[in-house]
Amino acid sequence: MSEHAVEIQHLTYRVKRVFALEDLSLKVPTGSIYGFLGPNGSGKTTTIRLILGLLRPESGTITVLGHAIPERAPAALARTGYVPEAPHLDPTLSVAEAIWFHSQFYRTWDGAWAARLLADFELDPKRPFGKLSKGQKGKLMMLLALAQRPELLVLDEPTDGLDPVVRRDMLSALLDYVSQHSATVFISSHLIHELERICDWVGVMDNGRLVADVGMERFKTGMKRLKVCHGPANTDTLPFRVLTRTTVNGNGTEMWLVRDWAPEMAPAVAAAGGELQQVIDLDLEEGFVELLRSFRVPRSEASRV
Amino acid sequence: MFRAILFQQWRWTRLIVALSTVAAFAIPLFSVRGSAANLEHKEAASFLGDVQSWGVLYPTLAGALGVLLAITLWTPDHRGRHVYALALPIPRWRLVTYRYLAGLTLLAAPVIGLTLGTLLASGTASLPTGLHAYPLGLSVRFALAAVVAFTLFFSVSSGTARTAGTILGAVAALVVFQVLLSAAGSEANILMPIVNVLLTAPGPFAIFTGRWMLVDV
Amino acid sequence: MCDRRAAGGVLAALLTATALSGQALDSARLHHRADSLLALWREANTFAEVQQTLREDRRGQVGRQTRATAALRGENPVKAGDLMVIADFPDSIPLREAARRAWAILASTYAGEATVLVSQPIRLAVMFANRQPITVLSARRIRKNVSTEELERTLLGLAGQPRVDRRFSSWLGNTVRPVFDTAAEQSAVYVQLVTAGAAAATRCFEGSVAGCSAALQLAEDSEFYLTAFDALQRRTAVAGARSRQVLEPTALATYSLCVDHHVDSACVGFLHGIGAGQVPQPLSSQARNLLVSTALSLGGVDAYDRLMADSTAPVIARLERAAHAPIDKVVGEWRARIIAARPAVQGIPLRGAIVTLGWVGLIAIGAIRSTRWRLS
Repeated sequence: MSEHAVEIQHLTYRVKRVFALEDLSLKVPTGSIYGFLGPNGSGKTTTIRLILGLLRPESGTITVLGHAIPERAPAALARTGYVPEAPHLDPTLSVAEAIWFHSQFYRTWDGAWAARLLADFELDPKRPFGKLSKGQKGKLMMLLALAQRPELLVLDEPTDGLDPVVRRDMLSALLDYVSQHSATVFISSHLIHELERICDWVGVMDNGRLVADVGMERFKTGMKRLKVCHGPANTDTLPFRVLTRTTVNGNGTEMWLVRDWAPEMAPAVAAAGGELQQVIDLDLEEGFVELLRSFRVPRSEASRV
Repeated sequence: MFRAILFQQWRWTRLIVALSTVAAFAIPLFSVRGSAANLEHKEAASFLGDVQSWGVLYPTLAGALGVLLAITLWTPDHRGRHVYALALPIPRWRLVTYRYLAGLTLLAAPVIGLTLGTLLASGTASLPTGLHAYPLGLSVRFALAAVVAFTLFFSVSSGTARTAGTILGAVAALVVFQVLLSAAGSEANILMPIVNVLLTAPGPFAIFTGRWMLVDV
Repeated sequence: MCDRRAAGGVLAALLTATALSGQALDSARLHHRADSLLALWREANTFAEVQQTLREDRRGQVGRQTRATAALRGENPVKAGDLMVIADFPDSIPLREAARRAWAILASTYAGEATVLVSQPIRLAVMFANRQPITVLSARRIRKNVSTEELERTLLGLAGQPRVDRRFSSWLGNTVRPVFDTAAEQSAVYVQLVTAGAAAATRCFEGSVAGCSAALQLAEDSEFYLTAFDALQRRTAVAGARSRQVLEPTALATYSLCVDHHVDSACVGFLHGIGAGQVPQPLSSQARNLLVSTALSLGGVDAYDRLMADSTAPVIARLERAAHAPIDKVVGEWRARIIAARPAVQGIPLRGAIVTLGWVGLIAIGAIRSTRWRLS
């Protein structure tokens, strides 16, 4: 088994003259739950469609479960479960018919488990897909993705717009499957708190670029805000990375946004001539917002991870 | 996989297939029954005239059936932007081939309906001396015409909206150009040669032209 | 010929007028009048014959003059047998082949008369553009891209047909026309046999030579409808001949007896009253022309001359003389050729099917190879 379920190298994709993705490189470790974050229009769905071979890149390489995409997309798709952003099934088919139709394309289909999920999700098998509620459609899409027993699950905002109960049910089924089958999950979402609980890797997209690709714990714990007095002009020698520096008042006090922080790095500030007055924790959402904000600041004041 | 695709396409097109099958079965029966009075008097000329006037419905039905079936097969995909079809673990050429073969399979129903209708009509009608029925020949022509129409519009529908737009745009441009030529007083005719090429053998639509007669000399 | 026709027409009108007013005359007076008129007709006929002969002599001299003149002018005519064609750009059209074919048809059809027909050269003006003026006004315009068949037809049309006596033309319905596309004409007559709606035609189709003779009206019988049609067909002919609204009471009564009450004798009487010319014929002039063509082909050289030798003889006798065979054989041969020319059967169109499947395969491959393998 490959070390990475998904490998993207220097991927570029353009829509007419506008770069939707520019020099994107990304690796999804096998067996991990990779959270793919980013604001609207940042390129998350485009990246997912490129991974699945639904779009063709301008340049770069994509490998999914060892198969080159898009050349061997069908082989990869046979082992990949996909839940798209918008449910795309035939509205005239009933739930049972949709399940039957989908099962015809996957040799690894687990009918018993599909039946169990059908019961767990409380879906009426005779109801046409077009007449299901949004939550029911989402559940059915998740059922179809899980019942084929994939090695890789690609989920594009699967719980977007769904109520908490439905979200809980879907995520429970997902985690249940992952825990039993050691599958890799690549999930994009706006709901950062949800991802914070389940993901062990996080990638952050902004404006077609990957601005962060790091373990979840490291991302959460490493993002801090530091209140520093008389901090050094050059922070390159510090063991952590300063993303932004903002002057608080006229007496030399600054607020630093840093990442890769660890408590034992505090003396390094003093050694550099500054005075560390306060360390402020950021949760994932705050860290995500600050990271994006720093990325959009001019380059002399910020750095890209 | 083919069974699943066939089932799905049947769900999309069952109304079209059912109605066209009924129509295909009924037209031959009406074409000879409508001439019952003539049959009694065995006036071959007027009998043939009646059969010929009904005959225009065969190519019309074949063309309409092929077009509607092909467009209906791809409409759900266009609506969903082909995401589901492209996300299936099957090469695109195979998916399109299965779709096409499923469409041909669905076309079989109206063709069989027509065959049964022509056999019943020709078997039960007493024909004037010198006239003969051609049920199988008519059925084969109908089948070929429906397949041509279906294949052409299947091909156009399976492409991008840009492809369809290009084709329609080219046709519209030809028509507009001809109108401008005529308005400028030119006697040049660019459309008729193209139409002639398409409609006369060995053009693709030559099968639609000519007499569609269940009964003839 | 025009004079004879005019004379005949005037006399026919006179006879008709006489017939209409003859109700008031007794039969003896009628006979005397008819005899006088007959004598008059014979005089007029003789006069017309003399005029015709003089005209032909004059034409021959003119024809010889025209040919000589053409040679002197260096117009370089195209010749095929006795047919001479002068075109301004002869090499730009398939003139030699068309002229050869046309002459072959004329000679085989009309024998010695063919030379008379083409005594004057035919002039053609080849048109390279729609509005191109022509220098010789008597020339026939011909498109530059004319096909050999079209040009052949044109030459045959311009050559015309020789005169035919009134009796024969009355039966034939026309002059003797050369058969240009034998297969097509025979197929058309086949369709007529099947769809004529005449009992005689049906019997002919089924194999009865007597039926063919009746359908072809060889007996020159003005009451052909008694043998050519059955009762139902006579009734149909009456219904189609006139509208009730235009009939006088006497005729209307007969019409009603026939059409409404299905009395066949009434139908016969009605048809007799309107005259044979008003009754649809079982087969067309085209069918009879083909019969003549069959007789000429059986008779070989000079068959046409023999056909036209005696203008007073019955049609049957003339055809037998032309063909050197009894009429049953001529009619049988005509029927055999017609039956053999049955139009192409609408069976399974093999060639069309192969071509169509070829197109289907081509378009289907295009669909499968479409570049739509990605989202737009």
